Amino acid sequence: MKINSILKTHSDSQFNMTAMIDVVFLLIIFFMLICQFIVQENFTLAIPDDCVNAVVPDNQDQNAVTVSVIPTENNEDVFYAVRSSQFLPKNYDSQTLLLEDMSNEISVQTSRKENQLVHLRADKDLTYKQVQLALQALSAGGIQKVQLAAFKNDQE
Amino acid sequence: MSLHTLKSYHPNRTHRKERRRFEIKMTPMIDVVFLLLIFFLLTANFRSKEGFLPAELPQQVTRAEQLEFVPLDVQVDSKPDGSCHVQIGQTEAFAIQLKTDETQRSEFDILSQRLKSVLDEQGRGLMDPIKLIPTARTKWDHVVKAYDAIWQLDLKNITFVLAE
Repeated sequence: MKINSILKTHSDSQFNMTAMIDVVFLLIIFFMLICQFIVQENFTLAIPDDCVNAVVPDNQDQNAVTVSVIPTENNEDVFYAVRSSQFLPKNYDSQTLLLEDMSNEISVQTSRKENQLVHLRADKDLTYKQVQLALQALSAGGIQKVQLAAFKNDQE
Repeated sequence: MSLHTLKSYHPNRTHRKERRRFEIKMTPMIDVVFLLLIFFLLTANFRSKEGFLPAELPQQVTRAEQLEFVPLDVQVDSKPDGSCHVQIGQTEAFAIQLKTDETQRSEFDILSQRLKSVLDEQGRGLMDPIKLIPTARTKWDHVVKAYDAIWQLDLKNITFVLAE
């Protein structure tokens, strides 16, 4: 009789895990559904904010070609990226060669589709001189229309 | 009392083994599930959705086109103190005050207002060209905000001019 009572007490002390697992799985599914996996080409940078006319698209166009201008870690220089292809000015003997390489890459990336959407993402603390090389490369790559990335609201 | 007299006691080992086979071990699964949950919580990068301002890049224009429309120049310059100075056409340059608190309207609204009055004075229409001329040191933030302020007036013919 004593053993029976011990066994009974032991079975009563078990946790009912089913409800907890349900909640945990729901949380995982929730995070998997709401998170937008960052595309490799979306480099982390502080784009301009507080632009009231910036249009926030409902869905991110995965086919858009993104040209980024990113400051280096020490903020002394910049590097450019066309999708995930990176272009470091220090690797080029002249700016003309850098421009040529960038515009060629832009032409290759945009030639796959007519009216290709092109996004220009540049850090807000960069100077126009640093960004205009990307504008020149886009222009040389045959791009007429570009979308400038900016936040609609103040991010501070 | 002997254990054999208890109804719940089964001395037959093979029978006990068979009953255990149907048990699902939940502990490793819960471990993995929790690890996944922690991974997602730690790696999730919560940030606002980015917006976009449509812009047109400068193209080569013919001499006849250049003569037909005299564009209105909007010069934008960033000063070392962080302020932004704007000059519209031949009018006097003005400084744009930086926003001090959240409730204040966008500081570049003054550019829209002044540009509108210049356009009205000169009898220019919405399709007349505007030349946005930033200097080499102008911050990209100020260039985009100035562009946004011009775009606010429904002016669509805005061209970026390359800095020297």
